[in-house]
Amino acid sequence: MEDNSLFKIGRLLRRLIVYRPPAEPSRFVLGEGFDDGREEGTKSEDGLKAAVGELEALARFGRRLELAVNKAKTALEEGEWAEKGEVLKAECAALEKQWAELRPILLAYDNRSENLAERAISTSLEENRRIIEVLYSLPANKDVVMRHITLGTEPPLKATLFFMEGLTDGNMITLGILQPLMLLAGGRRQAGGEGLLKQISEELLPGNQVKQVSSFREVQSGVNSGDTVIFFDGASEALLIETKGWEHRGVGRPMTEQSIRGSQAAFSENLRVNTGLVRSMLRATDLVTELIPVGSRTRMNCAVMYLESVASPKLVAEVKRRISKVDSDYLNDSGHLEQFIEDRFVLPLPQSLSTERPDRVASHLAEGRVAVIVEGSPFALVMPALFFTFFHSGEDFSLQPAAANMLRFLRMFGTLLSTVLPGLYIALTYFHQEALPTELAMAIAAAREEVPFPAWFEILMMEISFELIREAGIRIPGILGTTIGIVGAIILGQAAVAARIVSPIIVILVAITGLASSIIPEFRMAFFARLSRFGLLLASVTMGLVGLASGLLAMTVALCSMKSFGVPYMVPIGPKTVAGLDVVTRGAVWRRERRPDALNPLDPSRQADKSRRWEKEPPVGEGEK
Amino acid sequence: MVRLTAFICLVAALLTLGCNGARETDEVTFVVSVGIDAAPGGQVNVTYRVVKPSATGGEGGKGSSEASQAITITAPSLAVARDLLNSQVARAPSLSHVKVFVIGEELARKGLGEAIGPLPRFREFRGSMYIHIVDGTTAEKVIRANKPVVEKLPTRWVEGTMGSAGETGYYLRTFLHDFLVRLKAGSGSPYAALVGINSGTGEARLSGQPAAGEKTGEYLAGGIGTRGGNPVQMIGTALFRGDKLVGKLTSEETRMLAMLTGDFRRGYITIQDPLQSKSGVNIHLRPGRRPKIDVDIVDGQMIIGIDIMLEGEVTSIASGINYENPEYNQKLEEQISAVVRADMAKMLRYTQQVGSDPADIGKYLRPRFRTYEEFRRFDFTAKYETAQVDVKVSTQVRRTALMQKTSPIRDRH
Repeated sequence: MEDNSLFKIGRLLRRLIVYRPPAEPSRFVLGEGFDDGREEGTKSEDGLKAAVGELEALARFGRRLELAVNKAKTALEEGEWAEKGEVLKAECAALEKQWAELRPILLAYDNRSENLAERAISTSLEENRRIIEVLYSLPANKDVVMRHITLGTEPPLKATLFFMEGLTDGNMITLGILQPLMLLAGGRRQAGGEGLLKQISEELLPGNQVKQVSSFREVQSGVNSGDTVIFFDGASEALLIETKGWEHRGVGRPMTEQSIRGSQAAFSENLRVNTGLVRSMLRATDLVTELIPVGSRTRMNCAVMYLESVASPKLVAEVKRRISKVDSDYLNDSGHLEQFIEDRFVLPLPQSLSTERPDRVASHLAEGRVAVIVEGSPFALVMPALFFTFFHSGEDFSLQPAAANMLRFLRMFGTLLSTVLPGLYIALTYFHQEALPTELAMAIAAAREEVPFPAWFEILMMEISFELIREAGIRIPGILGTTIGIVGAIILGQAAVAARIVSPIIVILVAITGLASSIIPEFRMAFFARLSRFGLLLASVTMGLVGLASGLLAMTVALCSMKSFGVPYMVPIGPKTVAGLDVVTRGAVWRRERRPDALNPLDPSRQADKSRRWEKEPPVGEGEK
Repeated sequence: MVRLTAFICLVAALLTLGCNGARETDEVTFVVSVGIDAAPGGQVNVTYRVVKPSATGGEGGKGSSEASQAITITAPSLAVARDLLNSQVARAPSLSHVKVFVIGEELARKGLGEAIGPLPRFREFRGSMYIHIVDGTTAEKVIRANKPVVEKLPTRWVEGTMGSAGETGYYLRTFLHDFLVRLKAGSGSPYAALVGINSGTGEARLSGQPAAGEKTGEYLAGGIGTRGGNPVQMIGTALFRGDKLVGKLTSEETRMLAMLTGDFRRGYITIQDPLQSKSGVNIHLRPGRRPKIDVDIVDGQMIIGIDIMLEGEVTSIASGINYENPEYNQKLEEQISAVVRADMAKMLRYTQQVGSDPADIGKYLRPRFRTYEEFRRFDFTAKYETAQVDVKVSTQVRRTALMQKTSPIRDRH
């Protein structure tokens, strides 16, 4: 049979109606991983027995060593060295031999302790370096700087400095640590063992705070808060020198995300200052900052930050993959990068949170998200971002739940108003006048009595003038700013009504709509509300409440089909997951035991079930009676 | 290509499907009340109260006389009248804001079936509209005479009076929906609130003897002696048998009906002082519980048992006798029960006479039949007319308002 136009139309209809899975087969989905949980170490009984045997061997060696030292001491005191010298030498040789046998046991113990942070500092510089590299995910983590130096002592002494870029003051490190150590140490005699560190800190380091530390736990807490640590070859302790110097307060207040409580610092244009700001708020050892250069012409550094022990490795890998595969010549802003790396959108909604507040970035990193900071941009991107994230503000968790929830409901309600209100008004007055109270219907009719235009045109006119004023308010030079206020008040105010171009009720409507859209904390989300308002208005003008409902339905469908970096956009409502007390409403801070399930974090637990442990204890002073 | 087609389909759908139903508010005439009267030659006089929005809204506003106007059209039916209205007012009439249908007595006595029976089919009809029956005169006169004192629009007056029906129980809130349902299905007869026009002379027109021991007058709409204010009054109930008006309940009888239907919320009653018959005692009455109604059939005779419990609060004792005291209190309670029992029996007897069952006694009988057809065959109305009615009323005066005891007035002889 011939392929005529009827068949073509049939095929076209078929293509329109029949569902086909999307053309992208391998869309990134952050699936539920079964291997994400960490394995718990198990110790058997046999292992314990062997350990006891090893410990006993070490103890025997210790006793023998003590005996030998005592013998040597008495020999020296009583002047019998000549006679007993040979015997003692043989004893020493035997002891050395035994130590050589036992040393692997000791090393194995050291290596077996799973938590590197709990380790004691080793006398071996190499070993210390290795531990630091593991702890701080070097060399991926570009925030940690490792500097190897040799002191000009006699004999030369090797040392390694560690510090955190962005948290420390470079001048202080150069002038207060490196210069004295490398230049002034020359020719000095090296005191042996324990005296070495004391001598260095007392004679060479002009820093105002110098501390001797012996465990990696102390090292980490120092380095994470901006101190510099120096390991010396052969010393079982390290020196922690105060070099704090991150940017703070001077960096300026947030301009677009102001808050009443919470931090008042904002990102600046300097990438390292920005990463430092985040690090100063989230002082975690496994906070990793990876730098990925983007742009074939200008190699712009993008910092990818995440908490290694929390963020899903798949998510991190995907973000890094997308950024590294951006093939563009030039990148000038995080908003620019965002469009390169986000999923294809159905609706123009933001897919990553753009924020200028380091505290917000820090709190999202702690939940297992990934942050991207572009060099030169004062806005960090946090991904994945979900629909409800955009209705949260930075200070929500600084407020009492009741207050914060009221604000959140207000924001949701404002969003609904700003998208639906003009459409709803038109649908009701055009198609469903019976749904209005009689007095209101009469009031609307009375107000519209002398207006020559249809109601939808009035709304469109006022909305457009409102958008004009809004845009002009941003673009106009600051000096002329007041002009906008005056002009706006005249256009949107009494004059338009007095001229009988619009009815007063429309002015109220547009004003409420405008106000409501400003309540949304995220500018891009507010922009979506502004855009969709016009679409819903069109649907309402033509089909009334049916049109409005269809428009909202279509929007819901599109929202539910969207994904932000592999996470469904409407989580935890569609698909339904464990909400974790921070979606529409937020629970008390001490009840947030779990991290958001949809992010698939490595460590789903945020805090213990009973995080207010003091409640279990008697108050201070009560036990004494 | 697919997207383009989808877009074209969408635009075509938008342009062809919706629009024709849309109406600007300035393309519509809002009608707020409709009056229907019998006219010669089987026709009806339909009175529309049409609102002039510009006079209602805006600053200051003018009087209610200007805010709305009544237009009367003679036509064969309501639907035709609506079309004819369109020829007089420029804008399309919209009945979606009609608050009340007022029916003239003459038409009501002839039968309402044809006039309002088809209403539910009409899109702008809403069940939440009210129905009022005019006592004595025509709906047109009532609609034209209605000049609310407080409200700007007559709609507000209608909503206000209907909303406050529970305050006294002297008239009932009668939705057109309930009226139509009773007209066509189930059991119970339709009834509606009575409206009437007062002469304005201040002379009261009593419409019945109060029961022994009661000191309240009985009124029908228009009968309250008033001077000034709105001449239109609402009091009493119109009783229907089928679609025809057959009788009217006075204010007190309506209150008894309200007690039976459970619509009675509160109301004051003045009774004769049991110990000093010249004075009165004023009681604030409330229902103590839902009325218990039990219907039985013994040898083909219907026996209706009614058990009502009331709670009262003494609000005035003119004689100063210590009714707060438990012994006297009981006398007072007995007096109230006797009055209410007598009133109730009188009301029910009257409804039996006219063959109308406004309290829906039939509802309590229906569970005794297996099918609705069986119930229909039973001929409830005939049996109702001859039924034996046993009324039991018990009263508990629980509180004495803010006074524990009446102290006598000094130096009064």
